[in-house]
Order: sequence, then C-alpha cells, then structure tokens
Amino acid sequence: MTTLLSTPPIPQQEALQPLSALGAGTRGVIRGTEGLDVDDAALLRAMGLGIGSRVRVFRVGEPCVVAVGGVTPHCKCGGLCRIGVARRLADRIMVAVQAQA
Amino acid sequence: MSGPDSGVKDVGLEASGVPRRIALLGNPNTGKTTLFNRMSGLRHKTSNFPGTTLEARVAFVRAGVEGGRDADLIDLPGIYALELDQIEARVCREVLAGTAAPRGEPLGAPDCAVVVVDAANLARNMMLVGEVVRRRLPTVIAVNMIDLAEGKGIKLDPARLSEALGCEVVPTNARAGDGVDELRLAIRRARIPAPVEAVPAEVQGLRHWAQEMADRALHPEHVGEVPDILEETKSDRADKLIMHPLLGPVIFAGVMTGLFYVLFILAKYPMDWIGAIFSGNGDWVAGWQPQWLQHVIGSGAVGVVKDVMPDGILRDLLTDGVIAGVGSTVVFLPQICLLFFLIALLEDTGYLARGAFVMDRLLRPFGLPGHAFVPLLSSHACALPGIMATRAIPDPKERLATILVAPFMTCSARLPVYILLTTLLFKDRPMMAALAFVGCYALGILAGVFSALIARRTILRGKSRAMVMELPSYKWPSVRSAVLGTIDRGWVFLKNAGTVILMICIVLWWMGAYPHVQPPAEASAMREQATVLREPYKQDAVPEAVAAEAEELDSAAARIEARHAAANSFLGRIGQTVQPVFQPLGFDWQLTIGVMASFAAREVFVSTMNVVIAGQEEGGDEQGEQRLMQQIQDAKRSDGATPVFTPAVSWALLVFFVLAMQCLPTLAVTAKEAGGVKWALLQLAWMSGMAYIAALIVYQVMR
Repeated sequence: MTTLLSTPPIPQQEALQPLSALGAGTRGVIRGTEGLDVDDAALLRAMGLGIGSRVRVFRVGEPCVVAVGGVTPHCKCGGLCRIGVARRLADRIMVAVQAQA
Repeated sequence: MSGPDSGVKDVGLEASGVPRRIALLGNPNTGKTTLFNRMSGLRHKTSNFPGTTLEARVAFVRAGVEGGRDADLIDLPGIYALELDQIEARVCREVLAGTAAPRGEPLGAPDCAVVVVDAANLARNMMLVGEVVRRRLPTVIAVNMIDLAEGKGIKLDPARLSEALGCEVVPTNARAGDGVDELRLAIRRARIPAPVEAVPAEVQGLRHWAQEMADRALHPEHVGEVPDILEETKSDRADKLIMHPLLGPVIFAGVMTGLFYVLFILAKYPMDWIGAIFSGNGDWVAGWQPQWLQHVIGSGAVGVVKDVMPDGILRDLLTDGVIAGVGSTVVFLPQICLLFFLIALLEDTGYLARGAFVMDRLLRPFGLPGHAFVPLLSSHACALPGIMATRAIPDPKERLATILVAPFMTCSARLPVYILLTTLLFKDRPMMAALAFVGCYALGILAGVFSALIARRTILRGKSRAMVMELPSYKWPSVRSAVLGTIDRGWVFLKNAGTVILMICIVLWWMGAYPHVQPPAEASAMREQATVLREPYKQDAVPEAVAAEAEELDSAAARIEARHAAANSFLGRIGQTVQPVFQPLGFDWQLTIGVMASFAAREVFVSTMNVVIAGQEEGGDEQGEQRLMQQIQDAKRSDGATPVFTPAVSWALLVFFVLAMQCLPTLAVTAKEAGGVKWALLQLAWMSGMAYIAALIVYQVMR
C-alpha cells in the first residue's frame, strides 16, 4: 500500500474508457489497444481502428458498431465505414471521449 | 522506399514483351469480385491456391480495348492489409512476390497489380495501396463505387489522386460496367508508382500517408464541406432493429424461413423434371407434340437406353449404374444452385454480415463463428451445398470444424428412413411419430455442435477469431453477380458428380447386382407352375382367373429371385460377413445389408429393405405401399420367429441413421473443400463411430 500511496499523482490527462462502455453517439479518439492480442490489434488497425483513429459509436452492445473517421482532425473522409466489433475486443480498445451524444 | 524520383521510367505493359499477368486485389466489400466478373464475363476457371482452401479465380482478359493480347487476371482474396498474419494475406503477399500462383498456373510475379478501392472509404483503402506501392510493381488503382460515394456527398477527383500517387487511377462503377474499358487501357499504361510522398516503413506513418493521399483525392471545390464522420443514416437506424438482442434473432429466423420456403417451392419443379429426364416418370409431358418427343422425354434416359440397346451387362450398367446414380445426385443441382443464388443475393444486400453477428452469440459457445449458421442451416436440405457454403467462413480452423459437423444436420435424404422407422415404431400414433421426428432433428443438431466443440478443443484447437466485420451499407443486390457466382459453384458440383460420384455409383451398382446367381428352386418351380397353368390355352384366350393366378405366381417368383439375388450379391455377402459387427446393435443380416448399402446414400436403405425383405423396390399404389409396410413389419429373422424390427432395433437403427456418415458424395465434397482425403476419413470415422456407440447404448438399454 505504501508504495502505491507514495507514487506521484498521475498528471491530469484525458480520461480513457473502453469502447464498449461508450454510449451511442459518443465521439472519441482511440488511445490504446494494449490489451488486445497482436493479431487482433493488427486486423483492427488495418480496418481503420488503430491508435489515433477517430471514431463515433452508433450501436452499443454486442456487437458494438462504430463509424471510423481518419487519423487526423482535418480528415474529410465522411466516416461512412461501419465496423461491428465483438464486445470481447471493444472492452480492450481504450478511447478518449471527445463529445457525448 | 519509392520516392518521387524513383520508378519514373515507364515499364508499362505495352513496352514489356513478357507474358501478361494481372493481380486484382483490394479490401473486402470494395466490389472487387464484381469488377472481376465485369472484366472476365464467364471466361474464367476456378481452382485454389496450393496448400489452402482459398478459392482462386483466373480469367483471360483483353488487357487493352483493341489489339491487346490476352492476359491472365488473378482474383486475389479480399484483405485489409498485406502484412496481416492470415492465410488470405499470405497468399496475396506470395502472389505479388511471384512465389505462389493458383494451382495449375506457372510461378512468377504479376506484371501489373490492380488495387480496387472503395471511393467512400478512401482513407482506409489507401493503406493497402501504400503496401502495394512499396512493392514497386506497375500498379493501377480502380476507384470503385464512385457513384455511391457521390450520393453520400463525397466528391473525388481521380486526376488529383493519380498525381499524388504517380500512377494510373481509374474511376469505375463495376455494377454498371462503367470505367471497365478505361481500366483495360490503364493496365496497358501501368507503371511503377512514384508518389509525391514516399510510403513510410512503419505502420503509424503508413496510416498518416494513407490519410494524406485520401485528402488529396478530394475534389478541390469540395474540401472543407465534408465532416470527418457524417451523422446517423437510415442504414444505422435499420441496424439498431436488425441487430437488436431480441428482435434480431426473430428477424433472422424470418428471413431464413423465407429463403428456404422460396428454395423448396422453386426447386421442386426443376428437380421433378430432372428426375423424370433421368428415370422416366413421364406424366408431365402428356399431351406434348410431336409424339416422339413425348416418348423420348417421357420415358427418360433410362427408357431411351432400354429402347436402343440390347439386354445385357452394358445396358444394366448404363441404366441402373450410371444414369440412376448420377441422376440421383444431379437431381440436387437445382436446389444447390438456387440456394447459392439466394444466399448470394442476401449477402449482396449487406444483411448477412449483420446476421452473422446475430448468430455469433448462439454459435460462439461451441467454437463456431456466426458465419457457420447459414452453411449448417443449408445442410438441413443437403450437406453438399452446406459444405460448399462454408467458404464464407474466414477462419480456416472454424471452417474445417463446420465442414466436419455439417453432415450431422438432418438432410432430406434421411427423411425416407425416418418415415419408415417412425411408422414402424408408432403405427397409429402420429403425435408420437412427430415427436420422434423432432427428436431426430434435435439429436443431429446437438451431435453437430458438440462435435464442433470437441474438434475445436482438440484437433482444431486455436483461438477463435473474435468477430470484427465491416458492415457494408444496405443496397439492392446485383442479380448478375449472383448468377455468375451460382454458375461457378454449380459447375464445381457437376464436375464432382461427373467424376468421383459417378465412379462410386458404378462400383456400388456392380456390388449390388453381381454376381448373377441361379434362381432358387422354389422360384423356378413357381414359374414352371405358371407356365403349366397357361399351357392349355392359346396366347390370347387365357381365362382371366387363370391369367391372374399365373401372374401372381410369376410375381411371387420374381420377389423370391430378387431377395435371393440381393442376399447373394457381393454387397449381400459382405452384409452377411460383417453382420457380427452389428450384432451388438441388434441388426440381423438383412438389416446389415441395408446399412451397408446406405453407406453410399442413406435413401437407398428403404429400397434395399424392400428388396431384401419383400423382393420389390416399390409398392406402387397406396395399397401396395401398405402391404409392403406390413411385410417389413412382419419380417422375421433367419430363425423364422424373432421379428427383424423389434422396438429396440428400430430405435437403435433410427439413432444410427441420425448420426452415421452415410453419403459418399458428401465425403467426396469434404475431401475437396477441406483440402485432403484425411478430413473425409476423419468425418466418416467420427460420425459412424459415434453412431455405432449411440445405437449400441440404445439397443442394450431397451432390449
């Protein structure tokens, strides 16, 4: 316990939430996929869901359906692609929430 | 990597004199296959990539609009990235490197890569383009579905993209056939891309590069108007209903019921026609003109052969072996084609991707993916199209598991056997018979999913790929693509029926029909008696009563001869020899012959039983059928006292037929689709072993 208490406080940063915990309509940026298996992470990245990707949740639950935008804020791709992600994977995709529905 | 100053020299195909080979690749759902079909029409052959079960299609196409020589166009599997650890990606890498080629094709790198990209998903599709650009092959980009993207408010300028990538870029609309000729011309001019920005080596850089290229492709007047993610669409609202936890499965059940209803309604007619053409049950051509046509079609292939060929071994081989055997398989062709056609249409609408997610919840606990649902459901009609439909399952191990267990599902060939046995068990209790029927279906499904679970925990162990799938936008399906895909699979099935299945039919016919034996003395005496009865009269003047009596004697003799021939054929002798194996299950030698014969095809059991027990294949009219049923029910073992079909035996037999692998065409298709005879043998051993043990338990408990 002492070691934990003595740890310096984490500097204020964006709160990360698993993709599966976000409500419908939430926008965010993917910040971490460390919990995922290497192959799953590679496939998700190839499908557009990698670190830095901007996403918007369209359906909550199993599967979680997200729209994928670009990797930069100035991206103008329309985010027309919809990807269904099993909850098992969505639990391990950490997202910085940008705007609630 | 390739920078703006590299690869500028023109190595367009026009300049090169080497044989042409074009590789077509792209993300899934980009319309790549539709484009392939547009470029090739029906002129392609289907094989697979060596060492995999991945379908490889190669077409011969004109590379230029005029005067161009034919080139090989290879349709590669749809992938999201070349560097993924997946069989599909590995095959693409190897084909691009020239170290792999579809079976039957020479090795060698393609001299042009055509990357099909979805105009509405350009940023993501550009990542694959980047990976291909790095490989420094002459490349052409086909920006497909450009009309759909524009409909959604995204306007692209292919010329700007071409400038940015330093290679040919052609807008296409594969569905309508727009841009295909321009693509052919561009392939002739293909060169090694020289992008304005070199493709970075590491993955994060590649993503930014892809984004940059996609941004550059936007129409200049248009930049700034499109947000990064558009608002909720109709499609998104539909998804909420279609993938609803409760409503989703209900909708799925409704869609599937509709599909199979249409299938059975529509497939019935061509199946009847094919059956008639082969076997000659010609009522349906009554009234046709001219008369000879009515005769030829009405009497069927069997009738025609009987008309033109003299009696003998060759005629029997043709009618009873070849025509009857192939006919009984080809009769499923309409059902198979129609099933593939309907599934292709449904898939094209975008619904099946959602359905797979809905079913994933149900199948995942057994180690099977949601994609396995449609193949397993199809197997309830016939395992052949079911196994062929497993090509939609992405994970190879999951696909193998599905292939292995698909024949557990109750196919229509089992129904005659179920009807016979449930009628024997519950003669005047239709409710109980119906329950037993449902029980058989349930037993088949349970045996299937638990076998899949065991397979996934042992020989096919591997982490199951968690479901991640692109949900393509809903759209009207393309009939053209569905027809082309159906013709492809229909051919594969017919080729199989014409080779492996034909051979099996001939061997089985021969084993059942030979050796010819002397008719038993009893039968000969009866025939003699009939002749004696008719003797005093002239041919036309036999009194009715006498004629009837003589005929009765003749047909009784024929039945005895048929029983005798069946018991003494090779198949009959094998049946009697292996009977001790089935003794613990309560099967006597007559049942054993039936079981042995039905290892080729289950439905043969009923006609074999009819021949072995009653000496005739069919009862004819309704009364005849009832009499036949009574004879089977009353049939005695060789001791003359014990009935053949006691309740315990009937139950054991029923369980045996639910579980046993008794269909040689299915084994042939399993070997082909799973990529090895060993899988077919495993399927045979597993299913029949399970059937034996289950039937043994049932018989020993109930006797």
